[in-house]
Amino acid sequence: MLRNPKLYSPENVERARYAQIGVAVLAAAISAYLGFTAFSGVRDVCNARRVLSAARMESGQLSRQAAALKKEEARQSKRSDGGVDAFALQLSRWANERGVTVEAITRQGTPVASDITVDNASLGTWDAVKVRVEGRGDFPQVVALLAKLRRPGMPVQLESFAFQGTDTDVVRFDLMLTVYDRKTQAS
Amino acid sequence: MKPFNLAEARIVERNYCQTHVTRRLRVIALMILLTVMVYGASFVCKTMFAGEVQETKSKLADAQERCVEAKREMQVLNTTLAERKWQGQLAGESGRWLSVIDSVVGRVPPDVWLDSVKNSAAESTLDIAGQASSFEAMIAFIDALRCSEGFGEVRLESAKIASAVSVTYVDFTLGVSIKEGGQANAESGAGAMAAPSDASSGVGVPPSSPPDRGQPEPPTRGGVPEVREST
Repeated sequence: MLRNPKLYSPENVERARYAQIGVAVLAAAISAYLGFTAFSGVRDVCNARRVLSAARMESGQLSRQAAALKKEEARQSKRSDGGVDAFALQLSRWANERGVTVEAITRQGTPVASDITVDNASLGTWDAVKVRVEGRGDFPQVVALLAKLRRPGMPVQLESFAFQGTDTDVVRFDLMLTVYDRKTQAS
Repeated sequence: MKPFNLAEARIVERNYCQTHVTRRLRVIALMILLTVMVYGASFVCKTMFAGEVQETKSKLADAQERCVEAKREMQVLNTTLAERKWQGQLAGESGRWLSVIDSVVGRVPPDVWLDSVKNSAAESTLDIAGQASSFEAMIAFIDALRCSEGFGEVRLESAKIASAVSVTYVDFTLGVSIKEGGQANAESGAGAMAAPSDASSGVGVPPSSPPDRGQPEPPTRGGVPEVREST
């Protein structure tokens, strides 16, 4: 290889020195940048793993809570939307079981719509309907029928009652109840 | 004195410069090579990390979706449970009155009959009408009601002697005020409502079966006391 004798001059040594410094600075800068980006990548991975771990933990915790709530919900009776029709049907079944005669179930007044909130949980809008129930039967059986209202499985409240004895063992009863009916958007 | 050899000096200088230039160029080449290696390593790392982050983010999205789903489910379940609680509260209010009935029925002496029992929800009062074989029996019933923690004032509204077919009895009406929350835990009768037979068997007479005024109950019937003859 032919070499120009002027290539190895002291000026070129000086230039090579400057070039070396320049390349060193550039290489250091590039390496630092690449190192920083690589470190950022590692940090992102670590953060993502930490967030994932927290999310998995939260998900597991929520799933366990949901399962517990489901279990509790399953233990209770079937959810009811209430309503006078459903109540009348249920009451007639109870009355048949007890041999009590329900003579009349009558709506009283107009339904009053209200938003029900329990423990900060909105249960939506329900119509409160006053219902009068009249009938007759043996007192113990009537009492047993009314005892069903302790656990009716639907939103019903006994407001007032009147029992009237007759000449026989049968008593006449006149009840006033508030029956709630879930108001759906269609209604 | 040694003569100065210019050619030799030039050669020495050139050799010196060559050595230094070559060394510096080698160092530069090495640094470039190192930078390229660092870049390569960084590229590989970034690719790996990007894949890892992508995978982790995908898993995170799944986990977050599960969280949202679980929260939504919990909200629905909480609403359902709150609904049940509300229904329980309504049933509790009903149960309060049922306990009142039970408590009254449980305190009827054997020689007292109840004609009618009705409540006034607004005023928390009970109106009781019935008959007793004597004033003593009526007073015993009133005392029994007064002794109950669930009842407040027990007022005798009216009492009058009546007679039918040679039998006298006392027709009475009572006004009873109910203590707020007093009957929820009420005493003896709270549990008895659930058992229908208790309501009559505990009292001894059907409480709402007063003696027929035209044809008084025979004295021997199911725990009915002997009715005093009119004098």
